[in-house]
Amino acid sequence: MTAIAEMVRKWFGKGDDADSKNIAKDRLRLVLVHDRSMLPPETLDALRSELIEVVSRYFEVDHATLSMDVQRTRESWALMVNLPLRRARSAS
Amino acid sequence: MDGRAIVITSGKGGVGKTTVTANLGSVLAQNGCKVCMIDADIGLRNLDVVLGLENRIVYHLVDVIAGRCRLKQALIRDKRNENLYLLPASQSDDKNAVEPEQMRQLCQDLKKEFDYTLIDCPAGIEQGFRNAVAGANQAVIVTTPEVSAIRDADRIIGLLHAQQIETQLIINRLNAELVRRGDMLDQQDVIDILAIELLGIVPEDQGIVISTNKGNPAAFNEEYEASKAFWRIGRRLRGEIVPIPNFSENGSLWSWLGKKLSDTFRRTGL
Repeated sequence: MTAIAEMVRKWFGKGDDADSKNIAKDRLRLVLVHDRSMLPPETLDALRSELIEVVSRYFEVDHATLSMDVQRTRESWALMVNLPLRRARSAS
Repeated sequence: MDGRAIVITSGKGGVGKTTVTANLGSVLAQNGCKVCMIDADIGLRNLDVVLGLENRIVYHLVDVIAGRCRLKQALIRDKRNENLYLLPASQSDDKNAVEPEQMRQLCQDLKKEFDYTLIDCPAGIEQGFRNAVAGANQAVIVTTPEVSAIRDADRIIGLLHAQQIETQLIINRLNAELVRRGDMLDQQDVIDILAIELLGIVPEDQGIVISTNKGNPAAFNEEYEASKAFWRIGRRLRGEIVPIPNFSENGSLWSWLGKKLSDTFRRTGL
């Protein structure tokens, strides 16, 4: 009886394990989160100056006070920016 | 003329860059385009043997760069198609024999003469990679549906985006049976992960092994499934809209049943 059940399972494409492609996909996703977060310093520098440029259009900022950090956790990564503002630019 | 220079790259070795280069070159040439293929894998040349042109090399890439010969003297015209040319790599030098700026100039010169300049990139992300991509307007990334190849492809895509080179993907050696069983990543999985435009899928095909044995690219033998895939990719590269077949789709109930029955018989030795 179990032999027949096993045969039926095989027929419909389900083996003992979950589909191995889903294991591959999950593992890849995790590996890539880590790989992609290894930012080269030039990229961070470029990002820093462009951020200041954009924010400066709307606010007066002190460039020296900007702190920027890429934080990683197991599942995700985040860009943390701290940029104290002096005052808003006038509408004109 | 202002042709296009396309680098064929992957990060990981052994996923089929050279095979893709040889076949895309063959297809484009048969479509009437003038094509030059550069083997940028200095020290480990292979494109010449895949094309069956290994006995015709006199001068090579490093000779051209070093000014030991003129560009035209180093180009080998393919015996099967007069539109198809190969600029072979040197087998005795190493990657440092060439600078990115020199490759940029070389591609510039070739683009004046050829509709397509295809650059077969070495594996890795070091000097050889930097040289191969230096003169390219766009890149074709080759991957297989495997964890290691996809991971390296992701790295390469990041590097190319930083240089603002347009990238498209070829998934090579897709095994439809494994995909149907859920034991191989399918095209949607790969696209989801890499977030890149798909240029084509080449199914796993024994015809590629046979063609490489003979030094006659599969694209010259239209009955192979892989060859048909390369012909479709060639048309897409030239701007045509050609649908990508879904290799993992189940056929009709009867063909599925027939296949399952024959599989079962084979397994049980009946």
